[in-house]
Amino acid sequence: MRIRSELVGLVSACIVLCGGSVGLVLTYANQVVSMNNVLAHMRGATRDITSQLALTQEISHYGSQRATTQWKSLHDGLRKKLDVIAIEFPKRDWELSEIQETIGVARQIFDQLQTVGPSGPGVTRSKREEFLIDLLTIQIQGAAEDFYRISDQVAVERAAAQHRMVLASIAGSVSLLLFSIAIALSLRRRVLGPIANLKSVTREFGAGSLDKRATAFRDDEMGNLAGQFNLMADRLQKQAEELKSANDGLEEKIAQRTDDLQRTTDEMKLVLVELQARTLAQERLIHILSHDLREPLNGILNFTRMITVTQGDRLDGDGHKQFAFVTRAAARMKTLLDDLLKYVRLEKNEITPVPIRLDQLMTEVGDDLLALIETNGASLKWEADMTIHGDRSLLRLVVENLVSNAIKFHKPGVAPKVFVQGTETETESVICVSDNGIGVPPADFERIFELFARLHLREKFEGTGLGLAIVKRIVEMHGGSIGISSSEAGSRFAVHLPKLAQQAGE
Amino acid sequence: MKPNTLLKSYRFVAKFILAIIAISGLGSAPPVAAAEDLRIGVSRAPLSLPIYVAEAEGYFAAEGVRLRIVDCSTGRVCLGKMLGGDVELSTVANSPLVFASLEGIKFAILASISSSASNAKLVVRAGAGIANPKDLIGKKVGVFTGTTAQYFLDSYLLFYDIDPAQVAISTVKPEEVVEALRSARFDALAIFAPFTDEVLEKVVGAKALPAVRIVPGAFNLVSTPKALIGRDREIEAILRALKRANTVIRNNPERAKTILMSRLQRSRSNVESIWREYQYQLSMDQSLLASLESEARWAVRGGFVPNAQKVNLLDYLYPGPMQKVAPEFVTLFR
Repeated sequence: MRIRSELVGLVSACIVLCGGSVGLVLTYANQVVSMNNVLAHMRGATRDITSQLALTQEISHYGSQRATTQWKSLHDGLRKKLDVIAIEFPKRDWELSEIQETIGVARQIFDQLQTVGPSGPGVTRSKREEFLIDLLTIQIQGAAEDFYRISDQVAVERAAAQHRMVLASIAGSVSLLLFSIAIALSLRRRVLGPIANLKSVTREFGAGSLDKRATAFRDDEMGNLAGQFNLMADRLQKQAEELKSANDGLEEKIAQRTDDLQRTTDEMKLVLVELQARTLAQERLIHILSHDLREPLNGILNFTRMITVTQGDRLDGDGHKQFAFVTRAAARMKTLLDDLLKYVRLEKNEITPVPIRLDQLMTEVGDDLLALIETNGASLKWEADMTIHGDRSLLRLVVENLVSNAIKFHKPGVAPKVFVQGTETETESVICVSDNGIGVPPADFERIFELFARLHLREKFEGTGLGLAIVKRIVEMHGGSIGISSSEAGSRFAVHLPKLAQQAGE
Repeated sequence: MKPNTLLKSYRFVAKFILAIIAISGLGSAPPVAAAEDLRIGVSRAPLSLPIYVAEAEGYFAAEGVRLRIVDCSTGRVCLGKMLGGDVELSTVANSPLVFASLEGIKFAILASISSSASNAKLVVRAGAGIANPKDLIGKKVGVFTGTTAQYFLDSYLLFYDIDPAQVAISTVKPEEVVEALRSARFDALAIFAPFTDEVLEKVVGAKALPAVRIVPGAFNLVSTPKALIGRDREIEAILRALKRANTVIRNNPERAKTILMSRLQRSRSNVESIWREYQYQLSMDQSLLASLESEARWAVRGGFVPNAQKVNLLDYLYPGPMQKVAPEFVTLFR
């Protein structure tokens, strides 16, 4: 609004000035025209009075009647012309009136000369006539001189008016030019200047000089724009400072976390070293268990059996019972050692998946567990027309453990029935082992997969407490999971094995 | 080469060298009294206003002229002082110049500095029975003989078709005008400013007859041929100063009136009443010559100058300085 007002003001001033200049030029032009008219009349009057002067000379010398008549005619015309000039040129009315008076005097003198007769050689004029002619002559001569003088002055004034007109035109043009320049400069200063300033500041601001601000030096559109820019810049600068502050904190935190991580890593390295040491010790222990303990255990079993066979007749009833007890304990211990060894060795196994036909696998498991099946009068059935992927021996151990458990934990007096069903979806293969056994209380669904977890007395159901822990460990090594559902009718273990992308595409 | 021819050759060479010297100015005489004050006799009259203004405004000094004004009662007196060598310059009207020329006195008219067709008037005594020009018949009229007033009176009587023989005309001296009218020694006086005003102011009932612009009444700046020798530049400087003074009179009349009031001890009302009767214009024109010739014929016809010599008044005009200072106002074409 401010810029518009200023422009309107400038343009108005320009119009006023131009109007004034045009008015002045017209005024001076009018003066020039008027003076041209005056000069034209004065030229005519000067011609008349000069002719009168000549006629006066002619009359004085020859007394011509024609000259007398012409003189009077010129006189009348001269008076009228002087009246016109006096009207058009009131500035000189006083001098013109004097000329009128002089001409009037001349006329009166001329009238006295009416009787003047022809002059020339041999004709003598009276002194009075000569005096009258002299007076008439100087009147006309004086009037003529006055005409010349006034004409010259009018010409000078006309030239001055023309000069003023030209000056007014030049002044008007120069003023117009100056106003145009002023308007252009104002526009440049008011519009382009702030824009250039804003552009420069924006560039510097964008280059990172966040303390740069536009010069909001006016209360107008550009000033408002600059003000808005500055407000925006203030906000951005504040946010940038906050961000920088936050970054500084973040860096401190990162550094702190890095330190913590480093510390933790160091600690973990220590733990790892310790763990490795423990693992080494554990391996050494496993080695001891698998070799150093099994050797004497095998010796006990072998010698016990040998004593029973070779010296059995020398033992009484208690002796047989005691030897049987030792044999069972030793066998149980050997089983425990075997299972424990299996579990520990799982930690070191690396899975190399291969396609496994589940029905073949079940046939092998059935064969392996044939003695257990027959001993317990159990039945084992399966629907396993599918291919699974994984470590063949480990998955075989999984299925074998689950089936053997299903047979072992049967209800008293009830022949165990085990059913293995293989199903699959797009993403996983599921092996379900169902039985009609004693079941598992829901509260123990988690605990049964822990190491050495036993829900029943060893005297009631044999086992090392490692079977399901081994199963869970193997399933997890394959990326899968195992779940249980159980009721009074029996239990159902479901092994979920994920299909690899490669497997899914087969 | 014959001796005669040789002599002619030497003379030619000598003349040539002298001409070169003259043209270059090397041989010109130094300005006469260039370092001395110039004196100008000035009539104490409104016609002398350009002199007063130039002096008051310092234009003479500005133009490098040291001009001393010597007051005179009339132009004729000023002319007498000039011809007597008391002053080098003078302001004077046409008539004294015409009489002087007819008497064979040499002078140089440098320019007309002002003019007035109403400067000379007929002032009549109360009770003289003069109400219009025709009433002058049979009356006693005093006049400044040998001045413009005398020429004016004859022109006036002629204009109103009055035979001068029917009027008792005799001389009155400037210093007698008040007493002459008051005592009824004269019924009317043909006089000019400032005596007109003096009589009208001091003689009860005196009044001027209606003016008639019959005599142009040029007022001139004159000098003597002797005084002009080597003073062209000073004369030009004086004319430039007078030209500037006329510009002041034309463009700043109030200032000019103030100077006139101060110089002549006139009241403002008096100055205002006479202001339009005067024209202040530096000139040297044909009407001046025509007037001078007309007056000369009048003087000869009237026998006012005993043994009047035949003169060519054009020879008394010295337009050189004016040609340089204001050529636009020099309109002589004879």
